[in-house]
Amino acid sequence: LQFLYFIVPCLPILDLKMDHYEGAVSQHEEERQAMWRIITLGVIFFVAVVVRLFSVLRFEAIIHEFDPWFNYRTSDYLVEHGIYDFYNWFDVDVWYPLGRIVGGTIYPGLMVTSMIFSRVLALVNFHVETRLICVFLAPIFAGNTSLITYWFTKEIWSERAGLLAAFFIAIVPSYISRSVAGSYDNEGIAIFALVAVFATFIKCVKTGSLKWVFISVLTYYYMVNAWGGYIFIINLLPLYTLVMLFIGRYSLKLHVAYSSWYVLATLICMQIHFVGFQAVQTGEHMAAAGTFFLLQAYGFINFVRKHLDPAMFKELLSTLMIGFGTVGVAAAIIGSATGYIAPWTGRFWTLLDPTYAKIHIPIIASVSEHQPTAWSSYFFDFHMLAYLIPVGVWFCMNRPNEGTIFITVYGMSTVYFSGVMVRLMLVLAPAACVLGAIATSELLLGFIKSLTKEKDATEIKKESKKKGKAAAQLDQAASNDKINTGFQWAILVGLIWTILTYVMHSTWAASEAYSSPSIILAARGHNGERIIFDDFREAYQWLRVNTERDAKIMSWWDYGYQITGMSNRTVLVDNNTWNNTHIATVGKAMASKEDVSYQIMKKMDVEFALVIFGGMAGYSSDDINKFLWMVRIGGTLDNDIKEADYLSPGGRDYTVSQSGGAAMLDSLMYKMCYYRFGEDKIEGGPSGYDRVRNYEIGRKKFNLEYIDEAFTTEHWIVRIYRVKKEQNRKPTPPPNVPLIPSFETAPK
Amino acid sequence: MLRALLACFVATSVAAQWENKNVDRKIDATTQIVRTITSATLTNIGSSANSEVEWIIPESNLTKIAKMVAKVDKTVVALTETKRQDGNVFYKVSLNKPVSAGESVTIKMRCSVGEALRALPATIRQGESQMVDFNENAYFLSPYKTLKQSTVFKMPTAKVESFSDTPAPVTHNKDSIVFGEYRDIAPMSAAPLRVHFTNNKPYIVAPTLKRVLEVSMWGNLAVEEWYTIEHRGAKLKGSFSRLEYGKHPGAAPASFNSLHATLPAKADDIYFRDDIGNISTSRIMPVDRDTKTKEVIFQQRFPLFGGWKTRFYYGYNLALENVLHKTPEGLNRLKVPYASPMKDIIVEDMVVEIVLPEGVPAPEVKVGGKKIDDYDIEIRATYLDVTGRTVVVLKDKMIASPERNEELEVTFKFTTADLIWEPLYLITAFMCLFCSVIFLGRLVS
Repeated sequence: LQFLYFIVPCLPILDLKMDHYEGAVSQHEEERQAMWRIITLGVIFFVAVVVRLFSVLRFEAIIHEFDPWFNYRTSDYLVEHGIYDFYNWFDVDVWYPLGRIVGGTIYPGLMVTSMIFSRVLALVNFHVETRLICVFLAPIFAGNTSLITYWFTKEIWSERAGLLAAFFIAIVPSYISRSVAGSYDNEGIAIFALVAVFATFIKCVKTGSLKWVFISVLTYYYMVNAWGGYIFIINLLPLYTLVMLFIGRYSLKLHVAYSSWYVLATLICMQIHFVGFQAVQTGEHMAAAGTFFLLQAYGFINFVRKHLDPAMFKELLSTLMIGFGTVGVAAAIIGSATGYIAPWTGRFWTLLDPTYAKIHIPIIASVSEHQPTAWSSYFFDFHMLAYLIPVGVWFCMNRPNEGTIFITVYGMSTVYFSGVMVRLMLVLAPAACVLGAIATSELLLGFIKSLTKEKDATEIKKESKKKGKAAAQLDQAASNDKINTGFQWAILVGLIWTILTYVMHSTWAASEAYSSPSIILAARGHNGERIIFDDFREAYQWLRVNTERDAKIMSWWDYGYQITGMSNRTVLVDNNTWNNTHIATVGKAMASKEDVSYQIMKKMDVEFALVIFGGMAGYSSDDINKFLWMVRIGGTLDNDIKEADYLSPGGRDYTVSQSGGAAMLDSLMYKMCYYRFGEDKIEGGPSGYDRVRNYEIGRKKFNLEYIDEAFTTEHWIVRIYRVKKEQNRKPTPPPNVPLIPSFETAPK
Repeated sequence: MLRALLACFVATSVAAQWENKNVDRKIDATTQIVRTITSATLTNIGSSANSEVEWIIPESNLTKIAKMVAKVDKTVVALTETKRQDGNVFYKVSLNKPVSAGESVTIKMRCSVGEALRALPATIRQGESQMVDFNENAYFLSPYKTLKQSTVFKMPTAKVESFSDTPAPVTHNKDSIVFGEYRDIAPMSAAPLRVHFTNNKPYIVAPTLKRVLEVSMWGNLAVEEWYTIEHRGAKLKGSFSRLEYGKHPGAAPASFNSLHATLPAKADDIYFRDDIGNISTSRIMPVDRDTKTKEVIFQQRFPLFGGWKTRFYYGYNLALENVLHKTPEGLNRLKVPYASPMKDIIVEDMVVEIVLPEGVPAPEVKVGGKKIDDYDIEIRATYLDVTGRTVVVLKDKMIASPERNEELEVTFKFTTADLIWEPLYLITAFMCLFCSVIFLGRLVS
């Protein structure tokens, strides 16, 4: 693996070499440059793929985390059953007893892409498992993204900047985090589509050609198919158009490009099941429509102005504005009131007001990737690009045109959004890379130029000295340059050194931070040997082979996709958090006392309940640490669950120690996690010592009345309980079997 | 003609011709497979030489028999079923040479029976030992009179719950029980023999096994075996406690968590996976130089208790030169083990697929030296195939390991010249690609 460290830094040096070819004239030289470019791009593509393979080398070719498991499962279904069955797929294994219409509620781009890969390979009798295609899809698309970013930057700035941008995006940590091998998620292919849409749209605006509009709309179609983040595009492009309008850069080309793009794009994205009429009804799409009409009005007014005298025109304009304004506002009010224009979704509100979700929708707030970004993650995810963005913007503002204004608008808006939600850092990544590349390329070029010029100047000076004292002025300039030379060299070396550290940092981040599959955990033992905690798969495989096919499994929604994907069993809730009531019911079952939970579980036909418990192995993202969210979400169902009951009476702390709230220590979650844990004794220490929370648990001895321990994994990370069946009253059970208390006495 | 008549005569008069002089039965129930060795010395009490002996097996045992072999003086003799009567199956043992009147012959019958031990109680708790019940005829079932007979029953431990003490004498000594010796037993007599004892040996049953052997004439044999595994012993009652299980090694005596396989020493790139990926807990023991094998321990993701199941597959590569040889006629002969390499396992349904190179005509298949004609042929297209490879599919039932470590022999026709096709496809495909790129490039500029 070490070879990565050597190959990657070579790239910027290659790029630097390119710089020396500036001002090439002969065709031969041009061809040589083209050759260099192709080789460099090839190497960048290769690096983009290879840097994402750490997880495969460390662990295995496996699907990571949570959502990828759903994507993998649906892809597998698609490959096996074909596109029509896929669109009509009603999945009975999830959201029991409601089910889910999968075909109509997902963006199918990712699955279809995998299917195309699989089918094409199968065509030449090259049978590759769907799993392998899914694992390696994201790295391959990361390579594609580098290529398209090269083209995008080339259109905006220069080829040199394009190469740098391609190189930056190939290894930018924030993009690596979403596209390592096995991270089979929409974002993996969507970033490619996103940059492609932008690049082609810029081409549209520059040329005003319908051909490019058509190509751009097709890439947009792919983007909409791939990711819900297309909303960003459909808002950014109008924003860009408006900006162009207001700074007086309106042109017929812009008019043609945007108008035809909007109409075609809306029509084509309505063809996708999941979007449908949302494209003309929801608030998210309204800005684009508004801009479209505004642009038409602006064009029309411009046209009228040419044919009328100024006084008449002014009168007409004010009448029209008042008239249209009234009609527009009335339409918007009526539309929203009748529900024709759908209300804006919670996630969108969160974007505008970061505190919105915390107050209104705990489920959105409970997802870690929906949290606001910490400032340090900017440096971690972008490294040098974080401070090169403003430099890039400065260079762009010095040379304003269609492309540079676009990248500025794109960069500025995403800087805001990435601050609101962690996951939107990803959308900023291409902008950061392009702006960073522009800055780097200009800085490098500027200093190299001035350094070489200085050399020339010294030579000229020598020559002029020979000629006599004719060039006193030149002499003065040369001495000025001399003062700056050291400084210039320092900057140049510093910049190159930063690029090298960027490479080191990215490789390190890819290998250490972003390449864990999260379903297999690795730790270091006392002697430095690697210990694998494979508890998740142990439990999921146990469920897969040792329970009935139609067994219903209750767990917190985080594990829904994994259970359906790996265990092939029915779950109550999963990561597609579409029904808050259902999730709240599970939250309530987890948070209530055993007898109340039993009623809920019986009602939901639950046969097995599964919890993730890290107290034995020291795995910190377990259910006890997520439990407060279950309490909060469960509390939205009715008033039985109150957050205050789960906190310690005095200090209002969240704890499972002796000072923990009574409801906490009585809850089903506590019991499932700590059943018989109190008997476990660490060497020379107390019994029931929780290795995550680092204290002794509050209640060590208790029995389970309504559930039975069915399975616990080797390191206790997954614990599965069987919900006991109601026993017959007759004949009376043998005396050694405890009777389950009758339900009539159970509190409601 | 005369010979046929004679055979006919012999067949009808066979019942009265023999007498069991001495019968020794050794019943080995130390594993889940009950292995019985019966050595019966028969005397020809008829008036003429005879070469056929009748042997009886209860019909209920028939589906459970994993292997039955009769030997006389260490050479295998043929067994043919003649009739079924009153729940018994009659076999004819054809001796290699006739035994003249008054002479004796000793037949050694080895019989392995799977699933002959019934768990009693049928469900146990996690920490309890498993007890099994074994039922057999106390007498050697024979159409002939038996003069002297004894049975030694061997158990894994000395722990025995109960055993039938009639007909006397029955003596229990540590881990074995001796029934007999009995004298002068009438033909077809029966009396119950019952032993209820502790047996914690793993009850590994594979309801299905699929073995895929893929021959690549470039020099590799890829072996892959797909198992479903079940613990067929006493079912687990109540809950499974990880705390109890982890306390000490013998905390759950009736469970098992690993399978032991004996693989060729040259087996490379061994992998061990299931539906959801790699199983990281396997161990490869050092190579045993004498047998040229190595033991691989496939530790499962979780321990198996009674009634629990698991599924997995594993595979390895083997250099083809170890298993493929040229016959004098220029054919290729592949010689590989037929059954599963797992130790003490019963496979209920086995499918063996031998994937031969593309375009190979139907080969000759032998199992344990016996020619097999009723195999299926499938065509399967994989990497770079155009017409598809020939796949030989063999199906079998009730196979116990290591009883059936016979050799599978596949002889097929394939010449080295046939190897050239696949590289040729590749070369052609790439040439077409490059040519079209060159052509298009010229077209554009």
